[in-house]
Amino acid sequence: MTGKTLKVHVTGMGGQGIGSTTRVLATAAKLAGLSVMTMETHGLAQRGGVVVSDLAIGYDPTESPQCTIGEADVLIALEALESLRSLPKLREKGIIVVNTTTYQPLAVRHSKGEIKYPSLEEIEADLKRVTPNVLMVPAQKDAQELGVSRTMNMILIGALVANTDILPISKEQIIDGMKAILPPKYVDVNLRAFEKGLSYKL
Amino acid sequence: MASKTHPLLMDAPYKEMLLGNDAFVRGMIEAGVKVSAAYPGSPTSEIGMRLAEIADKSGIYFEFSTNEKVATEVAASAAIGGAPAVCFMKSVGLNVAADSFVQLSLFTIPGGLVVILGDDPGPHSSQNEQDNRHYAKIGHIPMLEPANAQEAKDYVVFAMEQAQKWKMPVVIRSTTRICHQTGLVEYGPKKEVNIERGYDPERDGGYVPLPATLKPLKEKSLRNLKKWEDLANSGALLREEKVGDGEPQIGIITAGHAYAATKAALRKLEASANILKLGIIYPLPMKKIVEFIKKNKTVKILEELDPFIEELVKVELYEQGVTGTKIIGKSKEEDYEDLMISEYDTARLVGMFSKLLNIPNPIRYHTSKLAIPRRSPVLCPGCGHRTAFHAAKIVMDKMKGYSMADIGCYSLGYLDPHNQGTLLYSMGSGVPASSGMKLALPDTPIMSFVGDSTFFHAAMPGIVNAVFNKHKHVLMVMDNGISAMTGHQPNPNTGKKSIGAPVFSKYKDTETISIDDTLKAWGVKFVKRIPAYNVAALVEALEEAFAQDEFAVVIQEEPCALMRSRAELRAGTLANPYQIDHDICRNIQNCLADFACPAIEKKGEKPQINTDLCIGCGCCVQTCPLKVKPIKQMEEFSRI
Ligand SMILES: Cc1ncc(C[n+]2csc(CCOP(=O)(O)OP(=O)(O)O)c2C)c(N)n1
Ligand code: SF4
Repeated sequence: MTGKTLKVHVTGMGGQGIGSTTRVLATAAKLAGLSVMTMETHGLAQRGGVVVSDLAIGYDPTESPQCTIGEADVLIALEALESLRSLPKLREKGIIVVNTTTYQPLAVRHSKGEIKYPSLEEIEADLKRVTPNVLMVPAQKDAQELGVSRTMNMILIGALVANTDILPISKEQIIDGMKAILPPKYVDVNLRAFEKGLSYKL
Repeated sequence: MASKTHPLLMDAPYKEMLLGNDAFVRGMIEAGVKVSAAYPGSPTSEIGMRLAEIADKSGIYFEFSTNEKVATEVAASAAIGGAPAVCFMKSVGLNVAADSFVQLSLFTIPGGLVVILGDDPGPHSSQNEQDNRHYAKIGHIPMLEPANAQEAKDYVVFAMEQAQKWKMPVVIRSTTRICHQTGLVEYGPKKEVNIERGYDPERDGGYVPLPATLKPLKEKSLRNLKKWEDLANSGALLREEKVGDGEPQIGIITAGHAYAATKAALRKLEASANILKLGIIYPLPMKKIVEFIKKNKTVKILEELDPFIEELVKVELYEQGVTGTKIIGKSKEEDYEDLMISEYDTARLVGMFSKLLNIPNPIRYHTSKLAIPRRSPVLCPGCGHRTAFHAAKIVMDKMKGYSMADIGCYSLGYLDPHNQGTLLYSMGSGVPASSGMKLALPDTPIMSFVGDSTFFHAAMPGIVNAVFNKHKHVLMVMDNGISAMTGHQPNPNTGKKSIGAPVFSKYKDTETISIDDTLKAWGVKFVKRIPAYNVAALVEALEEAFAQDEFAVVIQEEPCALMRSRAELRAGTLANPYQIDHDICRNIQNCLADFACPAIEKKGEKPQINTDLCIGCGCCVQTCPLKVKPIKQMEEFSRI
């Protein structure tokens, strides 16, 4: 069964491939002939800031594609802590895919211990309080094995596809999306990353 | 292999997913634009990057001008000579361009001139969230506002057609949400524009507004604006629609992204409403607006930032004696201040309309129960600005001085732990701020910072002023060879020297314009260039500069680390990361506390380097007071 509409909220740190994550899914939707829009919120060029990107499939194109609170069917976090910051975006019983990679904010590094980066177990438990559909994916380790760190997002997309039936786009269309937008040189390794992601189960 | 046609250059019929900023570019291609000029600034920076990338194939000349005023004058004059032209800039960029911008409507511009503005409610990447719609009124220039990527493309074509027809400038006001969204855009045909090139200095009262010549020029400008009022009232770019299945509960007048968010909000509320969606926001289609207002019992005028439409409409209603409809804007609302600030996203509008229409707010969501540490932007690992701030802080702390800020990545020096650059107005304000502060506090050491792009953009008059008026303070030029903050656009200091800078054919053979020689030509005697990664040398140079009896300059030099490390990663030449040997480390934590490189994290109670982030510059070693340094470069490491 596939729904007619889908909102995806992707979050992470600048440089982690947030844009290409939504672009692959958006291109898949376009190839499937669906109406599709995205909206990215990023600060400036420097690394270390939060970047989020929203994807709206199947909505009236005169509507803002922005994913508002309580609206995301899917939340993809390329950095673990950011899954918590974006949690309000998730709808009731939505699905969350979290990369277990962590980047410590300055506030934590500078505190005398009063500001902490929560543990992955705490993060997972907090997310599961809200929805049973939480996938914690050690994509960094997988990407390391594949030899290309920029494949982490495709691993997460694979994990998403393997664990939900709410996507209005098929696995094949996503693969076509990847082929359409990724530099030819990187298609193969990203396909392998995607396959790797498919092996994760809730 | 035959090179593929760039998606932006395809012939219609064709449909492509485009970023709002790319949609503007496609609009220029369809409209037959020949000349474009800009100074980068978010949210419009990507327009310039794309135009530069495709310049050889698109037939559109593009330049990164030194500032927005220059860009406006270049584009406008090309259009006066008959070449269809576009200039674009971010919100505050128009302040810089304003001196010439406000003259544009006085001139007959046969080639067609369109100005694209990227306003930034929020703000996301600006020092304020000024509402540039006011400039349409000040400059007597018509203004359009698109609500999505398709309209972004279509409005450029429409604006250029009208600009050429009436030989007058047209402004497209966009916002971050339009520039940075993507949508499917249906292409139109590429126009053949047959405007004769030529220049008649006497045309329609000429091009030299003086007290003696102004009156007829201004009369022409007001007559032109009247034509736009008629066009707006004819229904151009105007859409009246009913949403929802029920009896409309309210009328809404809106435009731009606020319109798109309204549509989403009404769907979520399952509310019914009449919407009047404006495309021309100055001059307003008053006839249509008044008709719409008379048809509804209550009308909400929905606009982000200032009550621009509201105030104009209320004057009109007063003039016409229309009193039967309740008008809800923001200027007279109790939560006026709140309504004036930041964006109207869907959730905010759901809240607003749920109150207004007495519908329960359907939004349900959960927040984390954990304390989420704030994540403020920081300078990248290996950024030369960091070592420079580290040195400046050492000197400023010792001398009990103050430092003045300017705009660029180095504005972040203000944040912990460096706290350098503490007064900021706008681009180029650092040196004059030092001059003024020095007049008030003659015995206090004062310095400022300026980036290379900002140097050529707006800092030069302030520097010449400091020399001319004999102010005694120190300037540190932050030379990373690029306009980094806005996404790495070339500037006059770039030349061939910046490692990893995007190469645009136009600038491929450009010589660097020397900041050192420029300063010396102005009579600055003390100009010292120091590698940014060398803290001790920077401290020494700064101390020497402060010992001078006049304005003195230290230039810190290091290519933007983000750009360089990306290029080196691609080439496989990026240095190995460093690691901390905890057998030697005594956990003094200067590296953590004083340096704030994102690659140095706190694990347990000890500093640890995140090898994923470390670019192997080794700068942090200088912060460690131990003789035998525990921070060492890894001998074996494979970068992925
Ligand atoms: C009037 C104006 N135009 C444009 C901008 C956008 N802007 C912010 S920083 C910057 C470039 C800064 O480059 P540079 O001074 O070289 O510093 P860097 O970021 O490279 O450190 C620009 C164009 C602005 N804030 N104000
Ligand atoms: S983008 Fe370049 S100049 Fe800006 S903080 Fe990063 S390394 Fe420094």
